[in-house]
Amino acid sequence: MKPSHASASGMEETASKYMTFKLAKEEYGVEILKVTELIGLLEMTRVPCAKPYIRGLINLRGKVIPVVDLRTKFGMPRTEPTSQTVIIVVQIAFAAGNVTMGILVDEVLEVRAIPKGEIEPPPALPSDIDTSFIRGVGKADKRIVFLLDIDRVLTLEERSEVFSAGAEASTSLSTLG
Amino acid sequence: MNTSRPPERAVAAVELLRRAALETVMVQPSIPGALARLAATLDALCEAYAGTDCGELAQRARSALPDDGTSVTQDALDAAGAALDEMASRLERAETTPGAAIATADDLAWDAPSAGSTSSDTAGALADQPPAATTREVARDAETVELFIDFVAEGEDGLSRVDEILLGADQGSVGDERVNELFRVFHTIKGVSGFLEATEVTRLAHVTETLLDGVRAHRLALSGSVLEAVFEASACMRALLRGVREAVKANRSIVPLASLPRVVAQVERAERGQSAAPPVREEQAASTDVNDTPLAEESSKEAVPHADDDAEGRAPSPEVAQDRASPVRVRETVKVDLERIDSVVEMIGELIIVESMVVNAPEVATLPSLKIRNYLAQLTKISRDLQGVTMRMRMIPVRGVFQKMARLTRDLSRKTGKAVQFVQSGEGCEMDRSMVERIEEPLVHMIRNAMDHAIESAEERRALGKSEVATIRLSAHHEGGSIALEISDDGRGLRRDAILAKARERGLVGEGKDQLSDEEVYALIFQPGFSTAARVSELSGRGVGMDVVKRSIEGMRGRIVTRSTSSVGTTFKLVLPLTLAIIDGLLVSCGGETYIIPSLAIVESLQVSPGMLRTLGHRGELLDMRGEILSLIRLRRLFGVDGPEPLPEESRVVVIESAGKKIGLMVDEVVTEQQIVIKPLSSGLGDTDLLAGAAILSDGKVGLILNVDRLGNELGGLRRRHHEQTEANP
Repeated sequence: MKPSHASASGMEETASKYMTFKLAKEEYGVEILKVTELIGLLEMTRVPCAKPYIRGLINLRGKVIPVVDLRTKFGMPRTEPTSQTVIIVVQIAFAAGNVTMGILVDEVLEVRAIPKGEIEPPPALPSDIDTSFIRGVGKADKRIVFLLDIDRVLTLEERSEVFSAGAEASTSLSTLG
Repeated sequence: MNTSRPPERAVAAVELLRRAALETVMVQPSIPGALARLAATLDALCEAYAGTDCGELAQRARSALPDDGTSVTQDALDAAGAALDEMASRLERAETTPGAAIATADDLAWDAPSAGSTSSDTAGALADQPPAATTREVARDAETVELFIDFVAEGEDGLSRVDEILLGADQGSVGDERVNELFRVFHTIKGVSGFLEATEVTRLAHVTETLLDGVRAHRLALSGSVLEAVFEASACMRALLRGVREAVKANRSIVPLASLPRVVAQVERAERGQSAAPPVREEQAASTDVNDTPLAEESSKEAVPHADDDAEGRAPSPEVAQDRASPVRVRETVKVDLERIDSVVEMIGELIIVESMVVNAPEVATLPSLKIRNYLAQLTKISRDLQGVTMRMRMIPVRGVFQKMARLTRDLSRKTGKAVQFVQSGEGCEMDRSMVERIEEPLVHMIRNAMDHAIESAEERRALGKSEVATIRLSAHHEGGSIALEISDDGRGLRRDAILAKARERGLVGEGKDQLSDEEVYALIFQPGFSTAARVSELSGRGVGMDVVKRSIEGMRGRIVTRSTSSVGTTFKLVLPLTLAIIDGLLVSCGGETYIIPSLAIVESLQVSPGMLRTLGHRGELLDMRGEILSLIRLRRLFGVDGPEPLPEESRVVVIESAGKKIGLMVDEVVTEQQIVIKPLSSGLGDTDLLAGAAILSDGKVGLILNVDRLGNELGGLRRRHHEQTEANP
């Protein structure tokens, strides 16, 4: 199967590296280049009137950054942090420049190299997760890793907007028969 | 054509028209894309007032603005600005004198016979020449890009010096040394631009250098048409340099400047000693005598009285006028990448925080060793000093902005035909560079207002026994932890009765309120929708909303103090913090959460007794503070803080002042007051309007800073929200 972007010199496709982690029972991956560090759970300052998926603000060596609860963002029920809970600090591209944010995950797994050939386009399934956040589904050791487009995950306005867009898409698909 | 419309619409239309008119003054016409803002305002006008005269005027102005980013002449913009202002004035007058027909757009004079401009038809008045060729992509290597950027920066520095010297020439004569400096600036620009093959820059620099050579050789005097030409050349060169920077940054070819040929022609004419085409209005330079022709000006300070021999600005002056300007102070400077400075400032900020965390950590604070506590005290002192030094690195003197105002005053003086001199002091005072940028717009508004409203005509001044030449003074000085900028004029002064009447007309003041203090009356002019333009019928009535000024200043956490004496003059004092990043804040706690209230907004803090609390039906809770009734907001409820609420007797109320109202904020505890570094909140967090930012507290936790202004403005909505919370959690 020919990859969609053949490299100029025709050399073998390199694998991209992903930081994989767990949310509930599923495995997800984020491009390692976007990850700046991993930190254990810190005391978070609640932000009143903030969106529900913003767990709070933390002090990262003098910088104030928000922490996003990915479970809430994906519509999963909120849980209490455990000893495995980790904050992955990522740098994403926002409209006005780069923004540092933390994402709260249940457990961090490992850095995996997933070759492009092993990545399939996101399935159009009604599921717990919104497929627009997902760049692709990678296969590693027979396990499925949902590769997230972390910029989209964190910059898209309301989950509900995306949800309704997804719902519209599926209804229009169904009308096609 | 509609001749009547509801008053509110007209007021809004007037505001938009005035803003568009102001933008024609403020915009730098020669930069591609700079006209976008003006275009946007005109679009808003077209859309909102389609089908009316106002809309049609805006439409014509808008369609005459070139879309492909080519330049327009300043004169054409002035004409547009005049037309927009005129429309605004007529709208206002129509409002107060019902039945007056509103002129159609055709009545308004579009044509501006400007020097060198050949087009005279209305549509063409805004376009200098056929659109320039579109740019193409140009790849330049990194070294070349750096050369260009350096060249532009040096060029701009040089032009600042040029402007300073030229403004000095306007007021009096300049000596040889300064003329030499003028020459050198253009000479250097010519050389480097030649090397970089920026042909337009080279061309302008070359002709200007030739002209200045003539001045150097005492063949020409730096006055009259010569001075004008150098002024124009300097402005045009600035535009050219900006264009070069834009092009280099965007990897495109440099856009030819449409107004260049006209300026070059003007410079060449001045050099040949021929007169320029007479400007539309008579030129009146500050502190010089006005002659019949605008050209035969000789500074009265120059040694030779043979001024009228040559009507062309040549000065066969055997004596060299003394250099009256003070010697140029040589200050060693280094060029440092701004990003580096910002990152150093940020790192020092973090250092202070960590230092604070260490020093305040319980284990450390209770150390018995005297030696250690000594060291810690030293550490704290050095850190603070370091912070002071780095904050100052971001400070620049206000001189640059003052100079722009000097130039603006000069231009406005010419346009309005009023003789005004511009005096400045304290230009060496320093302010954070971002604030210096932000202060420019409010200052332009205020100077424009002063020129249009405050300064009387020459006859009026004579009749009042005032000097014919009016004065606008801009000064800066430090006051405590703030910087104070004062704009004064010796014009009409604010007239209390007229303002009150106008305010009543606009519905800004209730009927019964007669006991307003002077300060309160003056404050009315800063209310949105207020304009005293219709007050005086003779003047063109160019008033720009002072509410925009107020909002800008308040956006920088500053305040405006107004002083005025009728017939004598007015002074506006802008008090601003030295830096935006640090404020004094009061830490308060609610539940386990810490919030910060900016000290500037705090009136007092008090213990509450149950008798002080009242409830007014469903309007929410009120506080009776020694007879004064204020709204009360329980911060716990506002922010939905968890946990049992303490009794009022165990709480405290911090009284703040916001948007002119006093509000009581009930908190659990007042912790301490300290200096905090404001960290902005990222966008996309949600509805965080009530929060102005975050800060790192001395225990390392994050505290949230209250947006006090928002609290005051949204009191109504807050009361409702508050009330809902109260209902839900009785």
